[in-house]
Amino acid sequence: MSGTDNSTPATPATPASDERPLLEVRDLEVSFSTAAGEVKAVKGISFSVYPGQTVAIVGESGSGKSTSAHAVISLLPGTGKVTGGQILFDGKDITHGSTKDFVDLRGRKIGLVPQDPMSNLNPVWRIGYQIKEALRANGISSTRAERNALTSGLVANELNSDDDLYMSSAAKKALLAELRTARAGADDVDAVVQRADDALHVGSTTRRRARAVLTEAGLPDAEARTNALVKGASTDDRVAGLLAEAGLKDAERRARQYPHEYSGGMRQRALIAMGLAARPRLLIADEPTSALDVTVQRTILDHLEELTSELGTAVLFITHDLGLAAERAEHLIVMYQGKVVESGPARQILEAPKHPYTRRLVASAPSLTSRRIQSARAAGIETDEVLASHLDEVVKDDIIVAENLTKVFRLPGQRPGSHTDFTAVDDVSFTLPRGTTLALVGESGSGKSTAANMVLSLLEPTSGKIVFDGVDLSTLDKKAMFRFRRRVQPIFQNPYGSLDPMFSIFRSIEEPLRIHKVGDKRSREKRVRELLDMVSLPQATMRRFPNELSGGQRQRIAIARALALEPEVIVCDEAVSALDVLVQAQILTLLNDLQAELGLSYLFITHDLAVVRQIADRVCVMKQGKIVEQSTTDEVFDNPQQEYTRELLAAIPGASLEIGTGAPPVV
Amino acid sequence: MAWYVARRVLQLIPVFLGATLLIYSLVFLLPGDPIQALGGERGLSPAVADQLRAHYNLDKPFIVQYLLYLKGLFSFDLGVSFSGREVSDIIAQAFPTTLELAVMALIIEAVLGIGVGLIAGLRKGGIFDATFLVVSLLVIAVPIFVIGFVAQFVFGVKLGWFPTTVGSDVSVYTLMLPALVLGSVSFAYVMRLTRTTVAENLSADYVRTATAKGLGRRRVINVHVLRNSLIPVVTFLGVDLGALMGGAIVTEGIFNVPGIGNALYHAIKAQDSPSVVSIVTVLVIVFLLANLLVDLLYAVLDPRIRYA
Repeated sequence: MSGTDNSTPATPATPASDERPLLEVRDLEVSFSTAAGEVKAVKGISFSVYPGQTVAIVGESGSGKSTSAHAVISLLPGTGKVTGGQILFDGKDITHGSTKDFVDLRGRKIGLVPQDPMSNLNPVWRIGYQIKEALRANGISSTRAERNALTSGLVANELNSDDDLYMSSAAKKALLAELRTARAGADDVDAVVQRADDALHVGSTTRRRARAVLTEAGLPDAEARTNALVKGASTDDRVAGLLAEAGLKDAERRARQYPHEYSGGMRQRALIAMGLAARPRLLIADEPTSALDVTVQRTILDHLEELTSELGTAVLFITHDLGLAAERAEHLIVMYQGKVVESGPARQILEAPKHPYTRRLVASAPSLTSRRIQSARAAGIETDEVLASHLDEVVKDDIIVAENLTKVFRLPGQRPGSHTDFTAVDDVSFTLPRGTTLALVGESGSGKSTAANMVLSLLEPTSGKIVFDGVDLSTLDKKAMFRFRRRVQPIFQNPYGSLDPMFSIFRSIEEPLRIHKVGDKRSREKRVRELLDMVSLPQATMRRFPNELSGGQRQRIAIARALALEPEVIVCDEAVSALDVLVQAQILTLLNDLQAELGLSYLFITHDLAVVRQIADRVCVMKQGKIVEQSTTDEVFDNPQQEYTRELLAAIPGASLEIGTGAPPVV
Repeated sequence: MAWYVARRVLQLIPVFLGATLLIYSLVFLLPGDPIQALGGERGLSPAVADQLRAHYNLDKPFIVQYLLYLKGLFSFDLGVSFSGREVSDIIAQAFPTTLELAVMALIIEAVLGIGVGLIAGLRKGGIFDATFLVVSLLVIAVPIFVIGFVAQFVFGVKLGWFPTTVGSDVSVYTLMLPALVLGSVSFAYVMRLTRTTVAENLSADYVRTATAKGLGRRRVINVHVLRNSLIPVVTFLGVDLGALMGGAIVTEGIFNVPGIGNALYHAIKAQDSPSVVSIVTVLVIVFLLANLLVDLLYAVLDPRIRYA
């Protein structure tokens, strides 16, 4: 369905004030030239961002949201170019600016925080060097905080007295030493110095702030001492300051490290520091946290919000997550197939979505308020009956029992021959009753995938055992193991990586049948057709290849392949994490229908609690290899026992919002 | 970092022993009797032949011969060739010429290959790119002796820019033509490799991020594209340096360069096994050192390697 014909271009509904917009996009069109001719990716969109405002563009992959954002700073990939419309920045037309215009604009006026923290830092340069480049290229002084137009009014008298000079690392050391001498003898001297140490950031704390901190710490004559010592920072100090501002601990040392020594969250912080280094007036944040764990995601977004509101930076936020957008932005723009289908204040769109696409998006946005998906067949039956029949299944036997599972990995140490032990899974026990869904939830590194791999018998437990249908897996011989593999099938996270690109869809689905010598050629083909029907794909799909299919279609193929051998248990390792919300909802519904139809048991591995609520009967929350909480889904959501579980729940984007209350359910 | 270097150096030891043993046994297994060949048409009396065999240790079992040879090697005694010259003398005379030729060829292929590859990669699909793709394909496809003879004929005989052969007059000028011929094939590989990695890195996310920071195009290319692209190219150049030092038998033959390749060729023809073994051993050591150099350079260029 296109549904875009009668949509009106988005008009700024809530200007922050009556000033002119910082960024104004009018009827923007972007095309890519391909072998098949021009393909329009953005078809005449309009929106405005006012100074200091946060605007979010929401849409699924391929909706043109990133393309629009990249067009603004002329970073369109490959053959992409602006073929129509206008882009105005601060009243100036930059639609067809020269390379030099954009070099001046980028960094200094418009900053970018890119999507994937893993690939957006150059692996061969130190983090500090890469941030320093941003300062140097834009001619940013590292000695003092340059206030921008919005905040300079507030601190105008500060500027006269050099109060915005940054603190250097030498000044910090000297001041802390002075503080220690001055307070020598007091019982709490260590605590006081430590507090001051934590509050003062080299290259970020200004003289004014330093004075306040030191006065509070009880340094006599703090004003004269800070004035004498705080005289601006070196570029290296400023780089450390920027990293500290982005929330990185121990920034001075971190600045000297390489990207591969950083975790994903730390890299994203470094990228935020980079994007804000030259104090741009507009920051384009392109899915800045979608590659990160929910809890990390929340702290980083909180920090970004704090930082940009403090600096008065306007933010253009690109995301596929409606809940996230609603939580972070005042104004939403919903894009679908290259057009803006709806725009307005965030709350208004959530509560009363007008366009059918937005309504679908709102309806399928997973959130705390969403309920377990009911199977399509059961949809016609009364809710009570569904619940009753579902409970009946629960009392059946346990198909998988994990007892005291432990997995210790031996990691090579710094020196030859040395090693350290890393306990990935630590004394974990759980049961999967037949015909139900058990979710293992946790952040990356919590050991949930390791546990799943042991259930699949792809990894051998260091201790503990897995009992499948009454039989201990470790007692199986080669033949029995082969039969076991037939009964337990996996679906993996990345549908782009889990299908062999050289295999046709038919061959991919047929392969397990062939390996297990099921039927002859004709019956296998019949089975493949059946399976494609089961996952709601046309039978003609079997002649195609993975690269011709979308992510959602590929995941359906992966499901069909897993179902081919009529397994009893399916282990879904982040099976929907890589998919857009609408597709995610479709796949979850499909999995649920198949469970009702075939009596499958699912072991669902995910980091996304919102997904858990939609599919799981029981939940195990994992942290650092241990299960910290284990209960029914409703119990975990309504009455979480552990602090960690509450943290995870609070981190779900849009958790605080009531989504879709005013919308008729459209699925 | 220190451990990384130490490990690389330690790895040289088994490779060195394996390579020398292999070379020694291959020469040992060669058909024909070198002592008889020494005598020429008239043949040697059995007494003289036995004496010669004892002198060259040829009457001892294979493994003893190998160990004696290793012992000599570690005391820098490479033995005496059948013609009575110290093998170390032969190498000392030929090696500097080969080194000069190899370094010249390496500089030519590196400068031209990286330069042309960079431009071609930046303008992928353009006329410049297409032209040099065809040129490099041609150079790779045509055997080196054809390139050598054609170059000798055109630049040496017809145009007279360079001397046709080198002979005993070794200088940068006389070695220019053989160096060009020698470097031409590797130039094609270096150019293609650079072109591909540059084109690939141009669309890397971190290059876009660098642009978004406000860096100018020149800086983005020099700092972010080129360094990353050079990592595989440096590997190739290092291995190639080792190969070039091994003496280009064909090129040295065409231009009559008194280098190690020539010396080796004559030694093989004369079945002069002490010379062959010693020269090849030296070449193996040179090759191993060149590879060590690559590994170290690699670690300098790519910080991720240092801790691996």
